[in-house]
Amino acid sequence: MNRLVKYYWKRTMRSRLAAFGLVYIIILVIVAIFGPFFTGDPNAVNFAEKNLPPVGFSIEHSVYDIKSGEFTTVVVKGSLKHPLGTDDKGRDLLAMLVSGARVSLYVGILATGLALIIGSVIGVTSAYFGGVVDNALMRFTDIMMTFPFFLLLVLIVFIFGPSLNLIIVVIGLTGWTGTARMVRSEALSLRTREFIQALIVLGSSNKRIIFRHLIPNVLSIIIVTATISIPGVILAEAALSFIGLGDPSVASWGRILNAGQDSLDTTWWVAVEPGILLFLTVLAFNFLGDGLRDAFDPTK
Amino acid sequence: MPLTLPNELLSVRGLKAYFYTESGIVRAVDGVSFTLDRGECLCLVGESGSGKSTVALSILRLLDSPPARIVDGEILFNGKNLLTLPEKELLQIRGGRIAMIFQDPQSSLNPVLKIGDQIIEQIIQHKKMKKSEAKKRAIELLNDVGIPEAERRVNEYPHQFSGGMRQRAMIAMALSCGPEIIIADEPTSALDVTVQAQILEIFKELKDKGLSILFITHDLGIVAEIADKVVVMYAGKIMERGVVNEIFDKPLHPYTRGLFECLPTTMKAKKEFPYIPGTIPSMIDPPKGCVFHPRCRYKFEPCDKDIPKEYPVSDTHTVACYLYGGGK
Amino acid sequence: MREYILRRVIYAIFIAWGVFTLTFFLLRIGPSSPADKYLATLVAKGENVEELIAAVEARQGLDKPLYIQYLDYINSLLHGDWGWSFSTSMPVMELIKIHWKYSFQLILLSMLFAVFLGILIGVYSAVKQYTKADYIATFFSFIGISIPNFWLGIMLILVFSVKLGVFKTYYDTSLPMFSLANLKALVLPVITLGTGSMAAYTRYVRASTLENLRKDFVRTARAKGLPDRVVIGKHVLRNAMLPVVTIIMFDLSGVVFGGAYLTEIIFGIPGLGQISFNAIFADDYGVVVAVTLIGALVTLFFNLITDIAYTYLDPRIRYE
Repeated sequence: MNRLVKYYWKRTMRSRLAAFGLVYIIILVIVAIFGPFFTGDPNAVNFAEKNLPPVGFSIEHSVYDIKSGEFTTVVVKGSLKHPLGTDDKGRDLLAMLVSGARVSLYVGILATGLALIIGSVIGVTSAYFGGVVDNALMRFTDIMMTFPFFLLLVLIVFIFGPSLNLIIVVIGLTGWTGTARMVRSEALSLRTREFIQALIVLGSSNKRIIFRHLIPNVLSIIIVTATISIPGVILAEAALSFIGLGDPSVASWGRILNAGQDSLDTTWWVAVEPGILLFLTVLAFNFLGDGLRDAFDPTK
Repeated sequence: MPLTLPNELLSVRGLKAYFYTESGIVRAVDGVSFTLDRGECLCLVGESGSGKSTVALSILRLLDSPPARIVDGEILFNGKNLLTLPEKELLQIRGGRIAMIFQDPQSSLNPVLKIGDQIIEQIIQHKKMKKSEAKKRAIELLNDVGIPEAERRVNEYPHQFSGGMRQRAMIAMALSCGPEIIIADEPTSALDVTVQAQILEIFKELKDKGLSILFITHDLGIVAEIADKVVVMYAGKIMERGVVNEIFDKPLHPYTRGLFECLPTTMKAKKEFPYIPGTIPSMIDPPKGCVFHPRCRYKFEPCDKDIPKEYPVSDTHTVACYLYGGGK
Repeated sequence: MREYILRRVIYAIFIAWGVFTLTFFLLRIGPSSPADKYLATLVAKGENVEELIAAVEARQGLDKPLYIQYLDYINSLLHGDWGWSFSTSMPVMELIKIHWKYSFQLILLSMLFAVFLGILIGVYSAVKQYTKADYIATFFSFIGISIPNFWLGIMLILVFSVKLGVFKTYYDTSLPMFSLANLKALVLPVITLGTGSMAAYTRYVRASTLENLRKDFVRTARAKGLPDRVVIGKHVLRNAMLPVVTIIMFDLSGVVFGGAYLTEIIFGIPGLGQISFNAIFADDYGVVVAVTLIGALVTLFFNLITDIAYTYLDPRIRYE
């Protein structure tokens, strides 16, 4: 097994983009875990320091002067105290984005994990039992697939009310269909593949076939699916938050983005920064997923 | 203008076609020359990997480039060098004056287009014909190659045809624009034995009608039935050539003799299954001297040093082997 | 052939029934019943709740046993009675009739944009494999796939509307649908919605084209003397498009509908996404459910169309 891991690791790292994706993801995970201890409270409101641009940028604010009763233009410069600027309530964007990273990864990993477990169980069950069970499960999968994913998500979160854990469960409960189909077809094709047939003829035990051959083969699919699903989940959570169906108690990237949309003409960075992070994160996962898929593809 | 004899239809001269791969340059065809005369059938014989298909594809410049490149030689068709012909003129010759038939009719036909349409598009490409006329012609052609109910079959798709029928359709397609030469690259190898015989029968008829055929095969049985002249290839080079009787009655090159010994008919008396020891050499790093010497029973002193020329043993028969020339 | 289509139609009806049933039960197991939410709104408006309860329950049929409610629900859906939108004071069906065209024009134009460019760039990229053009196309398709469309929309507004002032920041609903001005107003929304799909199609078309370029029948087509234009445009493309058709279909329900929802909100286009979004804040149940159901039914419909189209594209299926 160890040798196998090493082999696939080497093959994955052949792609420079995949290596970049992995490095980015590792850094993001470290920042998400440890970052909040250094960046301070993301919810600390400070109106004296509101609407500060990121460091290196400056912006003109109109300020009403009580004494003279006139508007004067003040140039506000970004400072190192708030390197990524502040929002309209003076909250530090760096702190918000770091805690948002935690939210995004938390949702992405847990929801994907849940979806993969449900999908694998349904897929393997379907392939193993066949017949009526297979038929029923696959028809149910078809029904679930007919719902446009995001609209179903909106409907369910709307019915049950927004909370982070609910969003995770809902994405898990709705996002398993692709995995189920792939695992089922892989398991089915494995059963008929010649080398498995040969193992059966040679008297290999079921346990050995399942652990030595079925699981490693299906595992490659699951790893790739996980890697390319996580960004989709992160985006779905961000999109839900963006339309106001996110958990109101956490500052996710989507919620910051939503808040920034209304003040594009003044504090543009509030919308730009979380978007860049979202974009880079999704890109990194896609690069890694693509590299993994090539690594597991024996024809390449 | 290069010198050509009046009877020469196609002349391949000093052809070198190399594949540029990651692991090195594969010298698939390394200095091959032969001529195909009007109305004759020339068989190019050799094991798989001998470069005979590469020769066939080179003639119409159908090699995928990259990785393949024709690095040297000329291919004269009616005196014109096909290798330097402008694209537009080449397209007129492809399918129009020289047609090709491939090994596997299953994969050589487009699965999503009707058989008829695949023939019709070729006719329209080369002849000034309306679609309805071209369709009539297609039905005639299918009929000629022995496809029953051609009027109905013309509207069917390749997967509705059997293997033999597909190859008949490929032949009909090749004949559709009245070509002067047909290049057939192992046209019977992918077929059942009984079907092979039927397809071969069609080729014989074509030959009798005076069509010039370049027939590529590894099957000496087929060569015996159809060939006028034979060229034996090995590892990208020509080993022996001659009129069919010369080769069959008096094979000289150790490689040719090896091929004949492997024929099932001559095998009866022997206990062991005869074969030529060793495998075809790497064409990235070919053996020094004669390419066949590592597998040759008769190899002697000069064989691993210099490359033998083709030494004539009669007006029509040459052998590239030091046993028959080279002054040693 | 006819039997195959009939089978697909019956199957689609079966799935539609499944979709209806699933939504029905989703609604019933929600933490607050529709009546509760409805009442809460009425309380907020200061109306006499007691008097209305009976009327409300009677109208929504919530006093009846569950299976009767279920049958009523299916029955009314089939008869085009999709409930009442109290936030806009009209039947949900009427509301949808007013707004669907905005979603339709956005999705249609975006799909045309994505399919046309996706195929064009994908095929070009495959034919020029390993050239600079191919690398650039591949790189940008990665970016296109990864860029969150709602953020792309905001960035387009920031650059082209706020900073450069080329386009309006908000969609002008007073524009006649078939006018150049309307087309111009849809440029940014179409790019927002279409880019991700275009990039995805580019990648699939490239992979599929590459696979088919190596096929023997392509060599046959060349040997027939057909020019590259015909060899690639007819022989390769016809085969390469087969898997892509399915992918476009999946993309429609998986990405495009969700993307259209967000795009409409960002640009203020009054389509179905926008009315569903407004309904969420007004707790207007019927509309949110109806929009989801319509999305599912449209997906189903296109699934069916794809299945049938496939029989024309791939003769091997037709004669199975």
